[in-house]
Amino acid sequence: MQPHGDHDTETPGTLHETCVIVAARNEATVIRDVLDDLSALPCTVVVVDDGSTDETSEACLPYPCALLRHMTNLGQGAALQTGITYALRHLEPRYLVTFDGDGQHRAADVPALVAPLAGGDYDVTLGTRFARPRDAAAVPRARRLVLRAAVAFSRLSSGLPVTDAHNGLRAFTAHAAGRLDIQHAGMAHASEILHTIKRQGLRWCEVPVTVDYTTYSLRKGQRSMGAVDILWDLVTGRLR
Amino acid sequence: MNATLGQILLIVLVVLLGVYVFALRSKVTDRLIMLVLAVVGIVLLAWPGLSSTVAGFVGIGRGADLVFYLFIVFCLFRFVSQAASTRRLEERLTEVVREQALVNARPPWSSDGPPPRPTGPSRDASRPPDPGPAARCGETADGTMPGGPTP
Repeated sequence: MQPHGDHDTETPGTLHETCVIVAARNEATVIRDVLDDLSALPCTVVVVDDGSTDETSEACLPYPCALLRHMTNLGQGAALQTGITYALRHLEPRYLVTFDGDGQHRAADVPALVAPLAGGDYDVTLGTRFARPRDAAAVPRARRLVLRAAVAFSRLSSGLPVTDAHNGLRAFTAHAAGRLDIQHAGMAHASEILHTIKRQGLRWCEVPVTVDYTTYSLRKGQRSMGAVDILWDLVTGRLR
Repeated sequence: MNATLGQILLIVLVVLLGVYVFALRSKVTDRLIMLVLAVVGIVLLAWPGLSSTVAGFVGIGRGADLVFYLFIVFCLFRFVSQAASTRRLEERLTEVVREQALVNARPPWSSDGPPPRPTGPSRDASRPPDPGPAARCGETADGTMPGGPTP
């Protein structure tokens, strides 16, 4: 049983050209763990503090990461876009990875996400927690039901046969990231990214990743009612 | 025409509201819409039979029902346009906040550059390990730990 992708050792060079964007809001208690975890990789890390009211930014100071701070909370989508814009403007990465700031992702999954891009066959890779039975089994039952519905909705609305929805671990080539223009400040950006992939005809694939459910990440994660909010965002988003 | 107290009261209120909105709104179209609505309201109040006549003409029971239905439609319209304008406002807020964040960004190569808040990087020196209680049990690079939430 191979717990991780077989690409781990294949692409040490490309990770140097990879920017990991971490959107964090009020993650002071876990952001150090996230950055410690990521420091095992040769990537450049960009943290976007999305208007935290705790010490999230201060916790990041000792780390050699880029640090941006929204002066007020805008939402995860907006934070990711800020980080992507910054990275493309100043760091000239070849690959960009989005990584949740609440400790639910593993840095060890990043190489496997970037590898298909480095091969030149794909523009976007999406993490999925439903590709390996072991990862899928780790998803709490209640969360699984909500995710099933979200996956069905994502497939229907985007037309892409994805197996996971709202998984924050994704990788983009610089070209693909440049095409992103995340308008939905809130959580609906996940659907929006899929729409962009579809509309721009980007080549994408899914890569199995592990999502760690701790009581912390469950508490911080989207409430089940969040799905309703997302739907609302998407509907009103068409109104301009 | 002998007006009832209720009619007079309502007409006065509508006129006040009209004047207020007229003074408040900046867009000419909005002002015109409110002006027309106020005038229609006053006419309907002054001649209560009128709305019933119109209602009968379009096949709706009572005049009050007609006015009520129109009111609902108007409210829905306002609701939707309000949502759209709120979104436009949020987009502008996003632009402003993002630009501010980009301008004040600390680049990755200065690990103790200008801190966002001037508290002074005092605990810079010690590179922080010692994961707190919330950390997941030890695994990093080769990550073969079966991810289990162990509280």
